[in-house]
Amino acid sequence: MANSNLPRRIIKETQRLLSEPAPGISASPSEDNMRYFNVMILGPTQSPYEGGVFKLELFLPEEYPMAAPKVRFLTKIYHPNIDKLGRICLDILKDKWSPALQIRTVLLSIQALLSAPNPDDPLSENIAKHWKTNEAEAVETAKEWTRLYASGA
Amino acid sequence: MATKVSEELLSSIRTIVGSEYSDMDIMRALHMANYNPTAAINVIFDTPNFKTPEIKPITAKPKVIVRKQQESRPLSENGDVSVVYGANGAGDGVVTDLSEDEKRKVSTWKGSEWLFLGWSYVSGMSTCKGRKLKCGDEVEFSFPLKNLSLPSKSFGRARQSMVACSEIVRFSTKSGGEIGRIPSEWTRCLLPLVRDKKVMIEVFIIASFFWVSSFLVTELIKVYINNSMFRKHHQASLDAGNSYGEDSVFHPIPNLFRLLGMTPFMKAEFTPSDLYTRKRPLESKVLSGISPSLFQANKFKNQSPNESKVENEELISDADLDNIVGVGNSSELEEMDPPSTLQCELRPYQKQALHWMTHREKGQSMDEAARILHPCWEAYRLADEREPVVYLNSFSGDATTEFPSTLQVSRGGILADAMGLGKTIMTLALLLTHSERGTPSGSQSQSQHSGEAIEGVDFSDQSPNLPKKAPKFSVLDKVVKKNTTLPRGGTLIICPMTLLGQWKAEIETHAKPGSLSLYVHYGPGRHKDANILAESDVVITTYGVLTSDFSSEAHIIKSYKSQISIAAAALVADCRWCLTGTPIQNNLGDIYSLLRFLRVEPWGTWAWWNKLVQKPFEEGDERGLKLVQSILKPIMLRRTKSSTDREGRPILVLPPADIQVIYCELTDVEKDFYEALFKRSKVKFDKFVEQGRVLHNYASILELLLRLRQCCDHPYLVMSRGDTQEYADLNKLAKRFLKGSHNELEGEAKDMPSRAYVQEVVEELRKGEQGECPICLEVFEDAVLTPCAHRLCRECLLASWRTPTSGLCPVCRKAINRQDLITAPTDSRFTVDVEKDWVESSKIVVLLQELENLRKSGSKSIIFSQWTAFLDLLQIPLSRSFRMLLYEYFPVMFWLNVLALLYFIMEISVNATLEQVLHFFAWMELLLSSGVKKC
Repeated sequence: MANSNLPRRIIKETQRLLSEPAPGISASPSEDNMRYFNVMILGPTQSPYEGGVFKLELFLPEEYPMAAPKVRFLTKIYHPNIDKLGRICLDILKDKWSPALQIRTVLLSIQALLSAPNPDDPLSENIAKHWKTNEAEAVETAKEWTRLYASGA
Repeated sequence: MATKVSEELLSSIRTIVGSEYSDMDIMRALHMANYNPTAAINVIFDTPNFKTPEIKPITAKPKVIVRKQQESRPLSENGDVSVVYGANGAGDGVVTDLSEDEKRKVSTWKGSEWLFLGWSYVSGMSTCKGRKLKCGDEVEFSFPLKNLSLPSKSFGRARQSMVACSEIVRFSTKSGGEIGRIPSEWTRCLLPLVRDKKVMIEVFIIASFFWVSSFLVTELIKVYINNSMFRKHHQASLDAGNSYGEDSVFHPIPNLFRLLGMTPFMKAEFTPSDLYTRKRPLESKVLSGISPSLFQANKFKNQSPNESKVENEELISDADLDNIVGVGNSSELEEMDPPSTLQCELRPYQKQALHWMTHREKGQSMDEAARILHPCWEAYRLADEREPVVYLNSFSGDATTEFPSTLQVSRGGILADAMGLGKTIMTLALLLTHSERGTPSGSQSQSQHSGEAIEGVDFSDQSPNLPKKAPKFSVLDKVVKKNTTLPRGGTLIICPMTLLGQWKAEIETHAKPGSLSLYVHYGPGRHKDANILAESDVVITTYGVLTSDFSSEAHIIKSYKSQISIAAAALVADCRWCLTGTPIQNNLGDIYSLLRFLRVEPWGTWAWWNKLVQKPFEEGDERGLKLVQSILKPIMLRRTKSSTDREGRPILVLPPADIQVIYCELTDVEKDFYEALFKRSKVKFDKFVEQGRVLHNYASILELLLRLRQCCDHPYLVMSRGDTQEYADLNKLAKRFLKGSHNELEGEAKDMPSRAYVQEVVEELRKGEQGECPICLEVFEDAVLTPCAHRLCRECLLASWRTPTSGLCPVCRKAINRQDLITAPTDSRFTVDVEKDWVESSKIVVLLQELENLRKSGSKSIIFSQWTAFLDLLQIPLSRSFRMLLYEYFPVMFWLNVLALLYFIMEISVNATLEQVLHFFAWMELLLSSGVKKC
C-alpha cells in the first residue's frame, strides 16, 4: 500500500541511483517498502576507513522531500560525528535540509564526512576527545574498527 | 449423549417451551442444535408442529425404523436415490392410490432436514420389453454423474453431446433391472437438484400397462427438498459476478414446483409468464419513430458483444432516446418546497422533482415494506405436514423460507431530465431535505455514467442481513460497516472527474454553510480512513477512485460490462439514484447497467434482461421496447426542454439564443502578413506533396492550417521566432540581474550570483534548454527565477517555504521574498514585446466594440478562445478599458467548470444541434448566476 502512492520524485531518484550510481556508493530500495533503502558506502581512500564497506539504512519520511531522509550507520564505525547507534551528526540531515538535496547528495555528504571528520561538532564526545588529544591514535583505532567490523565479511 | 443431556437441562428447557414437548422432542431438538440449549429452544419454536412425530399412531413406528435406516445411509456417491417405500402389492394394471393418511406419514419420515415438497404421477417410458412389474415395486433412479457423460455405447445409441439438462434418467427395480426412463421435463429439473443433493425423491410403481409396443409405467414420485437449500439462498447474493454470470433463464426449482402441480397462495406481481404473453396486440407506432439505423447499430454491436465500448460507436440521437425511454407527462406531479438550507430558488418543475424523489426514497414506510411481498417472489405452501411456506423467485430460481419483502428493493430511481434542467440542484435539494429532517435513511450516492449519468447509492445500513461476503472495498466497505454504528450514513456522489468541481461548487454555493459537511475523496492524498468518509454528510468521488478502492474481484467478471458499472452496482446502499441526461448513450445495455445499479429486479439479472428486452429489441420486436418503457415508467423522471407544465406552458423558458456571426475585414497589413504566411505554408505543403509524404506529415500540415487561423485572430500569435525582438524579454531579464549584481558591488550581499553565472542562465534560457526543477525533478512547470538566478517550479518553491511570503532558496539557502521572484521567460509565448508594441488586430477591434455595446446594455461577457495564447493577448487591451477578471485568477473549481464548458464546446463543434447550443446557453446562464459573480 505504501508503495502505491510513491511520489514521482522518489521513483525518479531511485531509478537514477540504480542506473547511474555515485562512485563508492550503492543504494537500493527494499522490496516491500520503496521508501526504505539499503545503502553501502565504501570508505574513502586516504581516510582511516579505506577498504571498509559500511552499511547504512536510509528512510524517506512521508514529507520527503520537504523533510530530510533519516539515515543511520548499521556498521560499527569509529568516527567523532557518528555515535555507537550509528546516528550521524550532519547539518543537512537536520536544520540545513533543503528539498533541492537528494538521496545521492546526502550519501555523498556522508562519504565526505568520512574523509573529513569534524571533532569540533561531535556526536560522540569520547571519540571526539580522543581525536583532539591524540589524532594519530584515534585514526589507528578507526582503522582497527574498519578492519574488524567493515571488512566486507 | 447421556452425559450431554442431563435431566436438569431437559426440565429447564421444558419450562421455557412448555410441557407438551416430551423428553424425546427436546433431546431431538438438542441434537439438531448441537447441544446448544438456546439454539434448541429456537429449533422447537421455529419448527412448526415440532412435537408431532412423537404422538403419531403406533402404526407409524415401523416406518420410523425405516427412516433411521435411510438416514444412516447417506445418499450414495453417484447421486442415486433409493426408493424405500413399498406399498401393499396390487396386481398389474391396477392403479392404487395412497390414502391421504399414508401420504402424510410418508412425509414425516425424512425428519426436519427434508421437507416434503409434493407428489405427482410420472409416466415413464419403458425401454425394455417383457419385464414383469409389480405395483408397489421399489424403483431406483440412476442419475448420470456430474461432468461424466454416461457411457452410451453400451446402449448402442449415438448420443450427441447434449446439454446437461437433457441427460437421461433411467429407472430400474431391484428385482427386474432397468425398466425405462422418465420424461425429459422431469429429468431437466430433477437432475441438477438431485446432483446437488438439494432434493431427494421416492418413487414406486403404481401401474404399468402396454401401450402400442412398449410399457407405460406410471409411477408416484414424491419429492423432498433439503432445508439447507433455503438457508443458502436466503441471502440475496450481492456478488455481481453471479447475477449475470448465468446466461440461462432455466431454473429447476420453479419448474419442479410446476410439475408437482403446486400453485402459489400468494402470486407474484410479476412472473416470467407475464412477460412471455403474446396475446397483447402491439402498437407499432412507438417503434416507427426510431430510425432504422438504431437497430442496425445494435445488430452490429451484437456481432461483437464482448468488445468493450468502441469509440466511434454511434451515439443515440435525442429523438431516438425519447422514443425508447419515453418522455413522461409529469406535469401533474405535486410540488414540494425545498428546505431553507437551500440557498436558491427552485423552479416549479424542480420542486416537482424534489417531491417525486422524496417520495421514491420513502417508498412504503419501513413497516409496510417489510410486510409486502417482493413483486418477483411467490409463496407456496408445501405438502409437508409441518406446512412450511416457501418463497420462490421464478426469475432467479432462488427459493427461501424467509419472507422476501420489498425492503430488498432499493429505493431511488433515475432522474433523467435533459441536460441543463438542473439535476444537480434538484439532487442537492433532496440531500438538504434529508439533512434537515435527520431521517435515518440518510442519503444516497450518485455517480455519473459515461458522461452524464449520476448514480446514487445510499450508504446507510438498515438491513441487518447485510451479506457478509459483499465484494471487498478497501475503504468504501469500511464506510458501510461503520455506518451501522452511526446515526446516519453519508451520501456518496460518484461522478466523472470533470464534474467533481461542479458538484463541489454547487454544494458550496447553494447549501447554507454548515448544513452539509463535504469531503472530496479524490487524489493521491485522499484519506484511507473510512471514518473520515463516514463522518461527512456528502462524499464526492470519481468513478476511477471507486474502481480502484474497490478491489480486484471485478476483474474476473466478463469484460463486456465495465468495472465501473460493477463497482457501482456492488455498493451497499439504501437509496440509489442515477442522474443522467442521456439514460442511453450507445445502446439499450446502458439501461441494464442503471437497472442493475438500482437493483430493479428481475432486470439486474443479465439473462432476463437479455432474453426479454435486449434481444427482442435488437430483433425489432416491439415487446422489448414496451417492456423497457413499462420498467422505466415508475422509476424514471424525465423532462426535456419542451416539456410543459399543468397549464401547458414550457417548464423552462430560456431567452432565445441569438447567434450572430460577425465577419471582420482584415486590414491591408494583416492581409499582407496572411498572404506571406499562406505562401510559405503552401511551399511547405507542396514540398510534402512532391515527396509524396502528405499523409506522413499531416500533423505538420494541420499546424500550418492552424497558424493561418491564428493569424486571423492576431498576427502576434504566429510571429516567427526569427523576429529581431525575440530576446527582448531575456535581455530585459539579464539587465535586471545585472543591475542586481551591480548594486551588490556597492552593498555587501556576497551571495548574489556572479555576472558570469547570470549570463549562463540567460544563455540557457535563450537556447530554450529545458532543465529540470531540482525539487520535483520534472521539467519546469510555471518556472520562476529567484534573485539568485535559480530556476524552480513556482509550486515546488512555495511548498518548500514555511511562510507563503518568503523563505530560503532551496538551492543556495539565500533568503528571498515572493515578490522578488521572476516568472521565467519560458512562460512567455510571444517573441515580440507584445505589451510595448501592442497593435490591435481587426478582429480584436471588432470584439472590443461588441464588448462595449454589451457593457452598455448591462450584460456581462465571457470570452472563449480555442487558444489560451489569444486570451493572453486579449488581456492587454481588455485590462486597459474593461473591468476584467483575468482567467488566471479564477479558482481551480471555476477552471473545472470552464473545462467542462470547453469540453462541451468541442462536442458542439462535432455534433452540433441547435438544441445542444440552447443547453449550452442555459448552462452559461447558470454559471453567470452562480460561480462567476462570486469571483
